Amino acid sequence: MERFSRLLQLNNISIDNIKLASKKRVLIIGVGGVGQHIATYLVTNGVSNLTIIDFDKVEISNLNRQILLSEADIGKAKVDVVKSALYSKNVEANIASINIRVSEDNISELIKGYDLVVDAVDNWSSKLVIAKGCQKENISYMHIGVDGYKGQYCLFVNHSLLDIAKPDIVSSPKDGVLGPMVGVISSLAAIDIIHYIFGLEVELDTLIYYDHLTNKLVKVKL
Amino acid sequence: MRLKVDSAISNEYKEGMSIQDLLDYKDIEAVPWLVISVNGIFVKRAEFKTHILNEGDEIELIYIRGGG
Repeated sequence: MERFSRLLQLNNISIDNIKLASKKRVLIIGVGGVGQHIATYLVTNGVSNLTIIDFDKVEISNLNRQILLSEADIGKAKVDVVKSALYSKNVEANIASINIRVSEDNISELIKGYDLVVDAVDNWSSKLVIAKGCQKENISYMHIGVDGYKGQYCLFVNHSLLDIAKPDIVSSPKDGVLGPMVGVISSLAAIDIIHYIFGLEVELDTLIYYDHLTNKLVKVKL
Repeated sequence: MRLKVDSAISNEYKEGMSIQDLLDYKDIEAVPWLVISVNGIFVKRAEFKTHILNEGDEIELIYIRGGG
């Protein structure tokens, strides 16, 4: 437990929380900037049963925000690089990786049995697939999105992204993003994920939105 | 009527405005990925025309994004 000694100094976290987390399974779909930040904080903070899914190869344009990659990884399958990097952070973790693109045909099989799904994908079509799949299988999931200097996340338990937005697959704006903003939003989301898996209090079904340029944090209860 | 829209406070708004009236007035398209809250509470899209705004209401316009 030396690994978690600083974690266990917190008043609200005990060994019981880590034991509880050891029985939970988390699936992260998309290990780009958001997915890498979240996966790193999970495996190093007691949420060690993790599966990562992605189908991308590493590109040089990833490096401004995808903290587990290096130039030597360009061209490699992202899930392989990220899995190896995560094990370097915690050799005792239990990490599985799947190199696949989620679709309506495979989503149910991919998400079954997980306690939480993290939607860290960068395109609407996959976000819709994940939202529909989690609604159908009654699995809680975290939506996260970052663009420019803004970001948002929501831990859906009794609601779905489909309840609040009807994304248009044709319009999938890939705006620019400042690397550290991905870290800011992903870190906030990671806190809620850790709390949820640890059985601690967390705001469910609440969209949290942060705009760095106006220093505005908004919470919208669904 | 005084409203706070995306952090900007103004008295320019007409009494009895609905959310849809506000969007029209500010020439904002209600794209499918736009989420609106009034005083921190989510407003369903089907209620944009019937949800009447009141003096001092705080309205947030949030565009759902993926990515990172």
